[in-house]
Amino acid sequence: MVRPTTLLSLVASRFECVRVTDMAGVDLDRHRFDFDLTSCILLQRADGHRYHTFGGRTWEGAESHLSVPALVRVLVRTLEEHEKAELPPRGRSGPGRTVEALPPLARRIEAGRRPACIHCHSVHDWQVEAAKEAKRWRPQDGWVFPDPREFGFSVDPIEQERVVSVEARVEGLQVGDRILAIEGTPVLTFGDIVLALDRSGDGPSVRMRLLPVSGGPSASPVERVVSTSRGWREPDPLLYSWRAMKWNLDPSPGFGGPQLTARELGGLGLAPGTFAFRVQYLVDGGARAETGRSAARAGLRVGDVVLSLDGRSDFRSVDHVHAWFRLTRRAGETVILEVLREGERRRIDLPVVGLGR
Amino acid sequence: MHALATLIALSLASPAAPLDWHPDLSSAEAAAEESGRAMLIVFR
Repeated sequence: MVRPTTLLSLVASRFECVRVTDMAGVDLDRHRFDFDLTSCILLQRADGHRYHTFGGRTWEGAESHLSVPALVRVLVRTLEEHEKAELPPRGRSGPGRTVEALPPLARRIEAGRRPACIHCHSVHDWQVEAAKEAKRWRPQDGWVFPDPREFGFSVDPIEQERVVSVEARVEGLQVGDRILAIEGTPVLTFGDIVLALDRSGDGPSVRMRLLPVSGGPSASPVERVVSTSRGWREPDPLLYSWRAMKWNLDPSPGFGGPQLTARELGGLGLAPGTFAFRVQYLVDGGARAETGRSAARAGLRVGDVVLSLDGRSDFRSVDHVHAWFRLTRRAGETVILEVLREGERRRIDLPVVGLGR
Repeated sequence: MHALATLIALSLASPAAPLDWHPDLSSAEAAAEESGRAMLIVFR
């Protein structure tokens, strides 16, 4: 029996393989993917035609849709598709849009301060900075590459085109359906779905080509409009919480720190499973300095243990707190903090500070 | 890089079927044009 990892190598050896660890010089349109990911595999032709995107994650974990069997499956299918496709034309287009061409980074490079390495997630950072500088930034621009659960469905971790759950608000899709394409983007993987939904526009429906479960094993593809609730493109803070992109969103709380461990909870007399985090820092520099200074003036101190924000104590992580604050609070509001300090519970009225851009 | 992604990346360099990794994208694209193969690009 062939080990899965050996099989993976054997199949992969039929591709021209390359690893990219620095985004400098990369054509961002030709090689577009969710730049918040720590790894992603693109399967495409030399002329830039994308077969499939393998990668993607959820708040539950970075490996939610990564597995050797799933990758082997998509590689084999890609080889089949490639063999049926016409050979790509000779010659390639120019360098395309690169992250170094974005004005904030371009100026930094010109000033002799080129970053030693441009990581994937920093592409979003530079794109946001450029958009804010050009006054083109809208809060909704931070909502990128949505988890399909934002739309209302989820897929199998191995057969990633197969629908395994559908919320009641979704019409036109059933558990067991296999998604072949979304708005013309071929689908075989979770990464394909995320990319297609990112491109799909603001409306509450998308066109899907499906193999319907109702058709049985010999089902023929059907074209269907699949709809969901309006407002699906307003991100759920929990589903969004893992993203590095959240650090670009405003308003920000101006403080943060580690979640308390079980031992620390016990030491403070808090019940097991209580969500709480210790304020380890108050922002006091950079563009967001006023957020931390405002929090300090309101009475927050390093060492305080935050128990709730606006009465909510059901956060799943400190990342969730940051996503919730940035996605749902507005400048000018007040967030009520309940904190524990030296054994006493205190209320702090935290002003939500905007950056004015 | 997370554990499974590491495993995937490492297994793509298995001694059982060693891969020839191109040094950069341009090299891989040129090779793909010449060979007619598809590209497998690992961003990490």
